[in-house]
Amino acid sequence: MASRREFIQAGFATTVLPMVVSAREVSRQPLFQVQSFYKVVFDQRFPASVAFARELNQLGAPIHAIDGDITDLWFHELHAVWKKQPVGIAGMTAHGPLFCLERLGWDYGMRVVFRAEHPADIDAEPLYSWIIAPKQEQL
Amino acid sequence: MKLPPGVTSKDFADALKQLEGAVGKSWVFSSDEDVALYRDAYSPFWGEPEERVASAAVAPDGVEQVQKVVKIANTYKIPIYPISTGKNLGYGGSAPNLSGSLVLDLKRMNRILDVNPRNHSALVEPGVSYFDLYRYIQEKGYKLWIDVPDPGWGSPIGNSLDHGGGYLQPMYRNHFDSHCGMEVVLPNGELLRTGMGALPDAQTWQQYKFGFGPWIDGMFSQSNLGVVTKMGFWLMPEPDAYLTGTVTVPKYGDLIPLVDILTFLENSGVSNAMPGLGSPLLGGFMMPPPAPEVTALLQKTGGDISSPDLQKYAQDKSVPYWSCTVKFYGPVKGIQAHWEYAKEKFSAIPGAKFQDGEFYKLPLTPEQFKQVHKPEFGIPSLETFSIGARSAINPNPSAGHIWFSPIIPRTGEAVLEANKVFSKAAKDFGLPVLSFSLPSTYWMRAFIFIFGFPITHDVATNKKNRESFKKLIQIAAEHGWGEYRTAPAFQDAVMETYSFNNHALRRFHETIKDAVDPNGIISAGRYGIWPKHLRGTKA
Repeated sequence: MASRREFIQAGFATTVLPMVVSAREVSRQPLFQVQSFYKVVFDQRFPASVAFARELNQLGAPIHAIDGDITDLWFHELHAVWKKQPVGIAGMTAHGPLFCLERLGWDYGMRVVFRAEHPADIDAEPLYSWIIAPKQEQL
Repeated sequence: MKLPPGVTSKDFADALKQLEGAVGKSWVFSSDEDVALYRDAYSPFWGEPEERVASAAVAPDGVEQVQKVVKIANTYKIPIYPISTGKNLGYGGSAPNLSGSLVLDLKRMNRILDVNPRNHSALVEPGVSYFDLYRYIQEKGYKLWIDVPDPGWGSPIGNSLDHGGGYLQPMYRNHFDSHCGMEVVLPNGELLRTGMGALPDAQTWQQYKFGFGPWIDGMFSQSNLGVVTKMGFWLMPEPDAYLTGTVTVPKYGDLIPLVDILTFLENSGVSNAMPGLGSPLLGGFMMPPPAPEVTALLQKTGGDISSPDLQKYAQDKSVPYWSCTVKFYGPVKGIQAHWEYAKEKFSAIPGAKFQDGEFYKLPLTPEQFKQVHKPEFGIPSLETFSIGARSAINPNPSAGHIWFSPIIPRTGEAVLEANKVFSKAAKDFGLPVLSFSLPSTYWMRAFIFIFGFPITHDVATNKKNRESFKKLIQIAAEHGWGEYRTAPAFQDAVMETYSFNNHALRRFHETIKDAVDPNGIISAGRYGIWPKHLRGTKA
């Protein structure tokens, strides 16, 4: 069985790098099962992010669309959820939303446990695939 | 682990043990991983030995625990650095001025102690965020607005103590001005309440600021004389409606009467929401980019926005030089009348034209809610982080920025002069920033320029930018313009410019600091005020 780190690097990362390559490997892992994420966050402004979410959604992950702004997700959902219990989320977004979610998560014992940059064209924002999980589940 | 300066590792370990006893083991953070969370994400010293970093952090749950922490810090002479939520990115974040300080993280003190819907006020602890207060008010169904900065994830106490600003009516927009009463743990651990709070069982702590005798609240803002543990704020009653209108004027010199009339309207209370200045000709922040011909003319003249060729272009093409959007909160008939009155006043400028803007009866509909700039409606938001900031002048936006933010006179002449001065400085320093800009209108009686200096993770670039930043502080001061707030890396440099009568102000600060905090334990160096034993070694 792959270690958690191997799973993340070999399974999750390779799944999302080509964006639409199968994410099924993720669902087969005993840790960080796709269905265990509270939400997979995607930015509907970026086709790659949409494809990423669609793939994971087909594997059973609940998804949440943003248009770059995580305020609504934070205010109406995550704040209350994390206050009750630390649950993992994943996503593919630009840096700004990840930056916000990472910092907001710190006060609830959450950490970014996986982060991969997907370079963009010169005039565009690079995207990041990521997992935010409870601190004790650090890789 | 970085040790506090002058503290042995044994003493520090003993102190941490005592802190664990005071607040609970799980609320003392000393692992490298936990302490790293208190780094300034936008540090201009990122990755360099001079980066200001904490030694550890402690998160008390209440005033009594804060008092215990302060007493332990005094016993071991450990510098502590209080933060509310530590979100003032661009002005230092949660990192201390003095490396090795113990961060006093007040995030657990997040109680909303009172919201008064009849007299429109709140009393909160420092760990309360704008989101928390907004949520509370929404859940209670109160028709109250809070004045939030943008982004709005910080703390009302932290933001106001750092002289932050927002977007509502002028009496709320200046967040320190809109506070009413505070509670402070002094450096000796004693508890102080200001204003009417000094009167036991006072019924008016959040209603009358001054109490009796000297008003000392300002001594705890941008300061290091105590730990603020409670603060009252005045809130804005939800208005009936919101209206905007824009005036455009055709000529370069029209900026001067445009600003004067705007100032009259604001100081008279006619325009009572945050206005915006713009230039349809020159473009700029939140404006469409200039026409290619304008860009070419600016390149030809070295950026001279007053060149005759540019003025002729504006006239021939009927492109206004300047615009001003005035905004109004209030009853429908009242704000419509105020807009009509504003048009009358602006009509004194030949060629002025007017355009009606947004009009909303409040509260906003769900559809309107999605469209508006939320802070102008008292709604905290993180939307600003969704703006893709990659550009020629900021190729790596994820590394952050620091703000260069001088206060200048509220006149058109000063705006034009400041642009000349800062544009020349930018050229001299080889900076790709500080192109033509119009000031922000957060404050009623003065303008403020806010220039973002990009932070990189490249040591050489950061070094060059830091040097340029310090030169700009000096150049601004030579013109009588001073920074209102800055990151710890530049607080000494800014305080150095406030030098009237051989630094009488700083010497007074130091006299008070020595008297109130003889061990120099609270926020050493904050805003250029150092305790005696470190004075002269840091500035």
